[in-house]
Amino acid sequence: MGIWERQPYELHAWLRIATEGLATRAKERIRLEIEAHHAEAVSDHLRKGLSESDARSAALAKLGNARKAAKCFRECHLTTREADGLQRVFSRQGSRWWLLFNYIYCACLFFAVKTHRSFLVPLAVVFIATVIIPTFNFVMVQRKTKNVCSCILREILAWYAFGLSFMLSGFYFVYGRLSAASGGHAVTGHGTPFQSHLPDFSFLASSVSSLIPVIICFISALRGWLRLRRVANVWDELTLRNE
Amino acid sequence: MYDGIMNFKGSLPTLILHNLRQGPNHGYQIAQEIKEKSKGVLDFKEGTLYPALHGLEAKGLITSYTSTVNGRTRFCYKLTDKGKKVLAKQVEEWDQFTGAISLILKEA
Repeated sequence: MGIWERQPYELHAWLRIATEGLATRAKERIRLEIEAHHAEAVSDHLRKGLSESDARSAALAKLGNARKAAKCFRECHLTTREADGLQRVFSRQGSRWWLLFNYIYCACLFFAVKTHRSFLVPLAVVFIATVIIPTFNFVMVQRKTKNVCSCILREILAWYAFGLSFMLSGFYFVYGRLSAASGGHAVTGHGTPFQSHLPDFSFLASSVSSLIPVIICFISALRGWLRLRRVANVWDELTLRNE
Repeated sequence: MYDGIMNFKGSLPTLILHNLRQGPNHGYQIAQEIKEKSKGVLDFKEGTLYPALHGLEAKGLITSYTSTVNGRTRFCYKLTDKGKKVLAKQVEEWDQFTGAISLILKEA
């Protein structure tokens, strides 16, 4: 412990440090457990003949460093920010308006590019992102199957598919422009760009430009999901217990 | 308090699972029983016990339920079937590990 890290003298101060930044439900659970633990420890010390204040101090000292405990608690509980984010995700997934917006967006996009056969692949991805996944999410939330882990995974998949559709659209657009500039055919609906014989440069440039953001998004999303996977079960228990 | 070169923190979840093998128990009692059975050698800081318990719960190795004792809410923990299997495996691994260390140390 550093010289600036003074140990708290009161249980409520210890709890404040140990649960700092944690979600309300996690905080409440830890508070209940530690208070019960502390009360029993104080009773034990009183039975051994210690004075009230000495018993309280001894019980608090046995809890150890509050900052170390805080670090450990953060590994298995949601923070306020994560809990708020999850609440937003659940609200969005259970919203009829959000579902309707997705359907309308998909329909608009379909009518806008239906004449261009080259956009079929991005359109299929958009369909998955805006119709299949949101519908599935909506049904799951309506059934109150609040499995945090799968909920987040589906959310990530939806956004990832959505992003991927944009990337693919960009890819086809850039590839079409480059191919037109280099004498090949543009994306006109007569076959896919892959059928044209183009210089390798355009293919490489468009591939790299479209794939790098997708890979970066995927890695950060995966890291978030792995973090939430670790706390998901405890969070589920808390939700069920309090509801 | 045990303050040796070996990592006690990593063994705490196994000790918790072993304690719960005998039946449901609450945090304070688990801590006291571990200390008593180790004759005070494993005298750890009790604030680290709860993150370990919550971590085991998150992995589905134990479950918790609440009861009210003297007007206070007490969280009791119970070993799950998955926890029993993991404990058996960890005890086996521990026996192998300590056996191997003993062989080397006794040779010297």
